[in-house]
This record gives sequence, structure tokens and C-alpha cells, in this order.
Amino acid sequence: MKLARRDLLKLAGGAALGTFFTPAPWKALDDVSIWTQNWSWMPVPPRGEATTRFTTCTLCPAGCPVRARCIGKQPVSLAGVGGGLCPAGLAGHHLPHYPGRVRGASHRGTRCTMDAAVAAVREVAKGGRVAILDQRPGRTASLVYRRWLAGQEGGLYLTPPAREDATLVALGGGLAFNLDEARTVVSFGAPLMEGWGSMARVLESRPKFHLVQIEARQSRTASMADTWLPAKPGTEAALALGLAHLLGSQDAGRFTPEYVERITGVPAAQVRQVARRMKDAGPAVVIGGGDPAGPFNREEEQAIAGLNLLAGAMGRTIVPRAEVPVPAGFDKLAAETALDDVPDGGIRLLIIDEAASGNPVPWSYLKRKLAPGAMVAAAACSLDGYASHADYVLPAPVYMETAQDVPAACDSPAATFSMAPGLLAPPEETIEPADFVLRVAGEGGTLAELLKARVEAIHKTRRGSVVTYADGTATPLAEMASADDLAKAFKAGARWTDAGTSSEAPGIAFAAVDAAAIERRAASAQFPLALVPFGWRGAAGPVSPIFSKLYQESRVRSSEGEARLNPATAREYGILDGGLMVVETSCGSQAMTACLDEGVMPGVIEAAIEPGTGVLEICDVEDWCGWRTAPARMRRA
Amino acid sequence: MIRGKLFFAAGLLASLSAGWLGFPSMLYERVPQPLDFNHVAHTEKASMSCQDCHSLKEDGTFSGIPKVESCAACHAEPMGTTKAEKLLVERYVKPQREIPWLVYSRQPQNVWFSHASHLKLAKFECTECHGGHGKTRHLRPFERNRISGYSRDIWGPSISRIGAGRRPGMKMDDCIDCHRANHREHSCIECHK
Repeated sequence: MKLARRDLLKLAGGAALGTFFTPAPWKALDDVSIWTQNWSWMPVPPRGEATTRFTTCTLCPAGCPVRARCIGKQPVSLAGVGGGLCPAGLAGHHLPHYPGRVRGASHRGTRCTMDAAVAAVREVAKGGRVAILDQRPGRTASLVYRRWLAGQEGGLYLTPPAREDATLVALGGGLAFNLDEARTVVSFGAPLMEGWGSMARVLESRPKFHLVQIEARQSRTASMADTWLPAKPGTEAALALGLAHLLGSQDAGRFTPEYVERITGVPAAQVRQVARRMKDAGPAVVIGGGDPAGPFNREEEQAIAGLNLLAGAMGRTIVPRAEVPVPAGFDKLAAETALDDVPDGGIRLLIIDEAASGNPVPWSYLKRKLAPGAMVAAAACSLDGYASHADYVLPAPVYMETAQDVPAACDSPAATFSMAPGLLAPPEETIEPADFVLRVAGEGGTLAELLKARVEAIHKTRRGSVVTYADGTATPLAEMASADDLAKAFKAGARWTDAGTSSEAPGIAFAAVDAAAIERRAASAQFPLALVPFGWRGAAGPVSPIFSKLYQESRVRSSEGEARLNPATAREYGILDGGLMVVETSCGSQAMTACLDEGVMPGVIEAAIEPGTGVLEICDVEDWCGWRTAPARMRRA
Repeated sequence: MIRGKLFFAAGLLASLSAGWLGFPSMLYERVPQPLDFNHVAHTEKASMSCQDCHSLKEDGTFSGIPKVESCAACHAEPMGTTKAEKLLVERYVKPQREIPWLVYSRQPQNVWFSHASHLKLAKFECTECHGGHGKTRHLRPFERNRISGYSRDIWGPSISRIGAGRRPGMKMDDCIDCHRANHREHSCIECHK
């Protein structure tokens, strides 16, 4: 029998069809996909005997205790101690492998030595007008910055305005929230239920208080609040004055509930109800800001913070808190300067500590504060943030690579101190931002030595107690024989808590609120569309690839360049779900992908801040240091 | 016309046979274990329990397969005349060299599995995942997947994964199926650390 071409084709066709009815192609596909996970250059956890070590998470101000499962010295999984850990904390040990990691010092994109960077920065610093932007104030590294700046001509110590303790700062500082005593909590956009203060403490106190969330966005905190008042973006301070009016303030005479309703869109009856609750179901506390995406401006924060004085929060739900003892040699420290107070073009040298990811400040705003030809040096672990704008990029270590201290969260009524020991060796060229400043200052010493001195200073007080993470036992500090014992306890995982909390009412003479300015702003907030950025703790810093991939795919996290719109707003502008659109503000424009969501207030564009997306760069910070909302327009791309 | 159908059917049959019979045998290579371990001799003759060797440590981590020093406690000298006994003492115990066991249930390195939560909280028996491994007199050969490198036990004994019982293997799908069946919450990051 002679084989024809047609016969072979029939044979091949039958074979091809048959193959699809066998497990061979599907199994081979599965195996090949597994094979690709095991390529030699992929970082994989080592094999070996598991040991347990303890540390403190430094990725956000909460400072949660962490149990690290290690193989050899390599942490391979993280978990909470006596409770959970947030997704960012669970994936914290991935950060050393972050793809955009800065590996060496560079000058405008060209590799340079650390000595060259130190010499260049030192030279510029001689001319004065030096500023340091500290993304995580309150650490021992912060003391190093403030001491050096105190000795510099025109030295400015800057902190991000969008801080969780913004209300406490507006009240004068040296204070802490005591949610355990609160029975009514009025939150102006503070993300209480999704990352604010210490989550463990907030969740423990939550059953005891009624939560009123005032926020345009239907955030998770708004969804979990007992009362949600969706005030129009930019009108929150008017609502604060409305509450102040009902609580008897003379400053807020015009802000009757009906007037507030016209401005904010919140029904007058609800405003009255909240005011009544603050009076009758106290102690109450009012928390403003804390949203990583943007702060209130100074007047707004003053109006919100002032409610605490009217509600009798001082000494009950807001208490004075002592500072963690400071070692000798830190007597003269530069005070914190609000970015708003820095004149445009007022900075010749800006050093940014971006190692501890904090709440971002729009680069466009920082740039305005720089003098022509000013130098920027950014200590960063990735090129996603300010490092991309810096003249000098200094490779900073990431979480768990060097020893760090963790200051008390804003909701800790007592001073606390804990440490995150370095579990991993950092890449060779990395430098602690504080060590870089010490080298520039020519002061000698290292952050590690200063941490040791701080532990000694704490030990000298003989106050408070130390709780070890491994077994939860509390040991009075007075029973610890030496500072070395205390240092060993911190290294093994422990937290020192100062003795007792103060219930003394701090004597605060509050500055009068400029009601007229707030009224003007609220009136100007009646724009057709408002761009409202939002974020979560650490959103501007590097995140684990697993965190980005899995949580974005499951829509737990918003994807980069995504704008959420109400379907009615989208219809009005002819924008489809998943369609491309351009958002324009007075500061610029950005292309985004539309994501329609009934939970978004009509007329509002919600956009998530992410490393590198730059949505903050188009938010208007023209005449006030706040960028929670920006007038915007949009069109289909 | 019939001739064409015949060729088509021949191709179909050939690929079906190759896919169902030839492919599985080609995919896995059979690798002998370094030592023929007798579980029955240890549990029945020596009256040992599973936990004597495969225990949970104080910190909750699973000890896995014991180190050779555990074996040395009893096998410092040969306890019989078998070939395996001689090999154990001469090749591993005396030179204190770890036995390179080929673990049937070894997961990819990006998977974190907690024995403690499954044994203590879910009250699982070892046999639910590992079958009757503890009652074997000889260790079966390790069947290594030539592409992925993992054991056949991860995929399961049935190449099609059809009709192989409630838990055909130890793949992620099997974990998810079991968690769903038992109404246990799960998220990616619980296992993918």
C-alpha cells in the first residue's frame, strides 16, 4: 500500500485530536509552569532546620511584634505575635529582593562612591539653608537629624504633613490618643479600621466606642463605622465648625446645621445628632487626618483639633505622654518646621530619608521649596519615589537589614520603645541615612552606637516594664540588672512601656480658628469634579511583588493608574468601565483607567497613590499645604 | 473514504495510547531511596510511635524526617544482618552523614505548610495526606517528574486526576478543595510567604 500525502495528513489530524483527549498536553503545561518557578536565578528560600526569631515591624508606625521563621539566618515567613499581621507585614521579608532596589550610590544616574557623595553634600551644606525631610519622625535617627540641623544656619527639620498624629501636633504635641477611654470617636477621614495607630489597640477598644466617620470616600473605615457622614470633598472643616457651633463655640457663629448642610451635603439633623452624641455619650475624641494620601491644611486641622477642647477630650481621651529618654549629647535639637512655613526657593540642600516609607509629599510641592540649583540627596531603597528626582541617590537598607528603633504609635497613652534587630546582612554598599548624616556632619559614631546609648538611657530611668514577645512575660525594668540585659531583651524581641499614663489635662490655649478662611475654601470646593487621592500605609514605598500581584488581581488593592468613578459621573462624560480617560487639574494631567463603582460619590474621581504613579503630582497644593482634594476635570482618552 | 477514516482512527488511537500509557511512564523516573526503611519493624517490633520520630517541636514547627543522630541512638552498631542495616551504620551513622531521603511530599519552596495547624486545630490524622506510609515494610521508589523535579505524590497517582478519591494529590487545588469543603477561610498569603 502506497502512503499518500492525504493519508499522512489524516493520520496527523487524528493524532492531534487524540492528544487533546489525553492528559499529556495539560500535564506537560502544568509541569513546565512549575519548572519555570525553579530557575536558578530566582530567589528561593533555603532548605534546612527552622528556627524562630522575634522582631518588631518597622514598615509603619504601628510597630507590631513579629515572629520570623528562619532557615539559617534567612527569614522565610513572618507572622504576628499573639495576633495577626497586615499583608504588608506578612510579606516584609520579600523587600530585600525588591526588583527596583538601589544597589549603590549614584550621582545623576552615574555610579559614584559614598565618599564622593558625602564630600559633595558636606560642601553644599556649608552654605546653609539645609533641610532634612524625615519620613518617619520620632526615631533615634530623627534625633541625629535634628541635632545636626540645630547647628546649621537656617537648618530645617521637615516631616510629612499627612501624619497620623496631625491632630495632636495641631494641639501642641507631646500628647497621645487614649481610645480605651473614648465612648464616641469622631474621625475626619482617619483610616481607623484599615491602618492607623496600633491596629491591635484600635480593635481592642472598638467595641467600647461609637465611631462616626466623616469622609467623602466609602472607605473600609466608613463601611465599618456606626455612622458615616459623606461630606463633599474639601468641606470637612466646615462640618467641624458646624459641630463646634452646636458645642458652643463663639468662633463658629455662622455655621448653623442648615448652613453646614448647604456646604457639605450632610443633613442638618445628622450634624445635630453627632453633636448631641459628643455631648451626651462621652468621653469623645476627634481625630483628623492620618490618611496617607493627603493632609488637611493648617486651618482645617485646627478646626478639627479644636473640637477636642469643646468635647472635653483633654486629659481623658487625649493625654500628655512623656518622651522616650534621650541619651546625653542631644540637648539642642531643631524644632519641626511645617512645609507650609518654608518660603518657596528657601532650601539649598534637601536630604530625604526615604528608607522608612512614610506618607508622601508631592514632589512638585517639594520642588517649589528648592532654590535654583539646589542639591537633593535621597537615601532610598528603591528608585520609585524621590530617588528618581535626586542628584545623589544613597542606597538605604530595608526592613530587617539593620537595627532600627520603633517609637510609640499615636494611640499609645504611654511612651514605648522597641527595636527591630538586623536579621539579614544588607547589600555591601548600603548606608543608614542617619549614618550618612553623621558622616556629613563629621561627628563620628553610628546609629547602632546611638541605639545602644538610648537603651542605656532607658535603663537608667528604672521605670516601666519590658514585655518579651516570645512568652509575653512582663519584667519590671528595675529588675533588669544592666543595660546589656535590656539590650539583649530588645534584640530577642521585646517592648519597653513607660510606667503609667497621665490623666492630667494639658493646659492648651488653642489658637482661634479662622472661620472666614474655611468658609471661603468650602465655597470654592463646589467644583464640578474633585480628584481625591487615597492610599494605605506604606503605599508610596516598595511593596512585595506577591502583595502587588495577588491583591491587585483580587481587587483588594487598587491597580496603578486606576480612577474610580460613580457610574452616573462616567455616563455624563461618556466614559466606559475599563476605558481610558484623562484627568486634568491646574497642575497637569494624567491618563487613567476608569473603574466604575457605585460606592464613589457622584462628581468625585478617586485615585490610589502607588509608587511611581504620580497622582499626587497633579493634586493642587498651590496656596495651602493640603492635597486631600483637587478641582479636576476629565475626558475620554 | 474508508481508507482516510482508517488513517484518522489510527492516528487517534496512537496518540490516545501514547498520551494515556506512554506519557506517564516517560514523565516519571523511578529513583530508589538511599536506604530501605522498614516502618513496621519500628512501630511493631520496637514499639515506637509516629511521634517518636516525626514530632512537632515546642515552637510549633514540624521536625520532618529525623536526623541521623536520632537513628544513632539505637543503631550505633548494626541491630541485625540485613543489607539496609549494614548500609545505615556504615555509610551514615558512623561517618555521621545525613541520609539524603527523597521526600515524597516535598512542596515547592514558595509554599509554606503548617503541620501544627492541620494536626492540632483541624485534628487531621497523618494518614489523611500521607496514606498508609507508616505501615510499609519497604520504601517505594521516589517517582521524580522529569520536567518539574517534584514527586509524583504531589500530582497524585492518577495521571488524569479523575476518580482518585477525595484527595488525589498535594497540589494547591487539593488544598483549596479541602479548605472549601471544610469551610475554612484561606488567602494566598497564608501559604505563599
